[in-house]
Amino acid sequence: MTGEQGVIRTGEKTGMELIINHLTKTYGNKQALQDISFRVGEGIHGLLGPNGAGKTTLMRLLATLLEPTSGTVEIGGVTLKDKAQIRELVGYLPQEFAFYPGMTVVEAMDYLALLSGIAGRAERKRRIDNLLELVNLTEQRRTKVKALSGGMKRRLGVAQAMVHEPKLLIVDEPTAGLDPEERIRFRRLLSRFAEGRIVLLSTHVVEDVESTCEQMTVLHKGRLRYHGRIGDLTAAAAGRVWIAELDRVEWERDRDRFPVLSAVPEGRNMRVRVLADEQPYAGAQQTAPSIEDAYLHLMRREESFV
Amino acid sequence: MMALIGKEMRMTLRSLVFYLFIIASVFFYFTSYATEETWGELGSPVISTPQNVGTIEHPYYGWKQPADTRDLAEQMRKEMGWNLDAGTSQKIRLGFPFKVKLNEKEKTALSAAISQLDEVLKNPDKYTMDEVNTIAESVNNQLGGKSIYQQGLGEFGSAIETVDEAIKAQEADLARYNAKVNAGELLPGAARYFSDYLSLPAGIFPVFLSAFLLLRDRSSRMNELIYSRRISPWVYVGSKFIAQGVMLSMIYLILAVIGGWQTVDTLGLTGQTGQAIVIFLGYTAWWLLPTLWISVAFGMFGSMLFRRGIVPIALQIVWWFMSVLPLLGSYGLNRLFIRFNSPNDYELYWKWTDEIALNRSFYLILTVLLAAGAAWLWERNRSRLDSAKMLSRKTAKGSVAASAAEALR
Repeated sequence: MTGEQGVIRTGEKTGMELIINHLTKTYGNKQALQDISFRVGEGIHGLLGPNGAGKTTLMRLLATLLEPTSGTVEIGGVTLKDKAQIRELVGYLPQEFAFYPGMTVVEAMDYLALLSGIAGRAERKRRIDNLLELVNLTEQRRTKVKALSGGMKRRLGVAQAMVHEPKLLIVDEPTAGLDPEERIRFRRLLSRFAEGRIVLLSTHVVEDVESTCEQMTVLHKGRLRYHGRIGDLTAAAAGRVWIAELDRVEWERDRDRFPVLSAVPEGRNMRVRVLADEQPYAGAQQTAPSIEDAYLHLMRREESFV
Repeated sequence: MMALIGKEMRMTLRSLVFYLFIIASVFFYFTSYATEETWGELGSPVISTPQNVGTIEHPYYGWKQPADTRDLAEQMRKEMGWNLDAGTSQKIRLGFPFKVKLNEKEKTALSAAISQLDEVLKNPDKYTMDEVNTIAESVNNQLGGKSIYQQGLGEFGSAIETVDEAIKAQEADLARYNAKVNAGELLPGAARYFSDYLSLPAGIFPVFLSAFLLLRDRSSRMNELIYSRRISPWVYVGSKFIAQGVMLSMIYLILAVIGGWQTVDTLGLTGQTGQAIVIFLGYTAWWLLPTLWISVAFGMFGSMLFRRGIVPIALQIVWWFMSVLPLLGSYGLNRLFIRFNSPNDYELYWKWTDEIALNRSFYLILTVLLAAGAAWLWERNRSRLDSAKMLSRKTAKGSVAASAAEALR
């Protein structure tokens, strides 16, 4: 599942492909990414990992904002060294971004479309109108960017990353700050955009991955910890997720014995969900792991190894 | 690229610093060039009854320039004599006059020059003014340059102490003015005067805009959105450079039109407005705009090289001070702008045209090179987001480790 030699392949689709081969990035004597290798085909691909896992570094490398210390990357057959061509292929939504002060939504989009090489004014207008409609910002087209809410700004961020119709869309925490309705709308948008393309979705929200991705990659402390189908990850946690109902005294006494996935008060009792290799409490029952359980199970195992 | 230039020009219009630049330039125009003093210097001298503005014991009717070789040689000799007696002379250092002690070699040079001037004074008609000026130039070289003996830096005029002298000086002034008008040098002289004064803001204010032009991507947190796009550095930096250069040039070209029109109008030169505007635009384009464009290019290049806007601004201020003096006659390649602080002296101007042309051509070439350098550095920095973070953290907190941790996000 992890640490395999060479490139790990998931999905057998042909067409657009992202191939990462022994990629390493160091800052001074800190290793942000260590010998990462995997291969991604068309569709939405989740990228998960705790803070400091190296997700942002990986995305910045793919967006040519950083140069690798060693290793190679190919996007649609183009190596990372051919930056001009890579920039045509890649659309990027960073986690933190802003626009020049005073720019309106449509001005910001038009400016970035020009920088993406879309020369014709009519063509830019057509694409911008379509995208603003898709991200539900048509009414705000003349609004100053600084006056947008956090959620609107993220939607604008997604739209700008799509404006030149990239073959690889890299989105870093795109749903942060979105309300549930916007989040669902956004997932639909990504799914539609991913047809014939790769979408690399980095997120802390496991639910985003669960509802949009077929495959995922987990990074931890700069290393690749998992790359494969979501079903395989949950299968690895099967038999280790337990639910139990405990009274509060018992819960206070035993709460640190096992990794807790959730704890919900129910009257005088607590309904808990824990990770354990064997039955943790009398009366505890096994349950099917969710992707979140599986992710935490993986992280827990990593922590115990490190 | 044209569309991008248009966008950048519109963005310049949103900059407060741009409007401060306009205010500063207009302020310089109205307080330095378009003044009563300038119109007095440009207008025809008036023959009137001389007025003693001194005392009965020490009458003073004004100041006169040397009328002939004798006058020039006498005044020059007096100045050299004073310097030799005091053992000091004045030099310009970083734009400011300083009294410096003369060493033995310099004193010998002054003594030799005095002997030469004594020879001239024995039979002044045998010599020309230029030959006398050459003696002063030689002393200037031996004093290490930038001394009061450099043409344009020092003057060898004298006080007018009698009515007869004053009338003669007025007649000489009028004759010089008529000769200037007949030579078609009135309007070019005014245009040179205009360019001289306006070169002062042109040599300093643009850098306050340009030094932050490329850094704004980062300060606005828009850099990742821009750097990851396919735009070539030449087009991106070039469009910003051209847009800002054009916007700033427009202000000076408009002021040139106003200057030409106002000069003709104030001096009552009927029917010469068109000609004046063409001449003012010509001098502005050739003298002022290279200064302005190099300031834009220097700010952009410096900000990319040091990744700090304040560094090119500080360097430009030093460069400006080094260029501000002398008021006439020094056009080495280190001079950021052309000083010709006189509406007259057109013979001197013609003598220095080659030097001025070389200076302006050099700055045009340097402008292109610096703009290209800025584009090259921008492209280099574009894929070094980590080093940009490193640098800013290092400066802010003196800790590289902190930036590495930040970059690990």
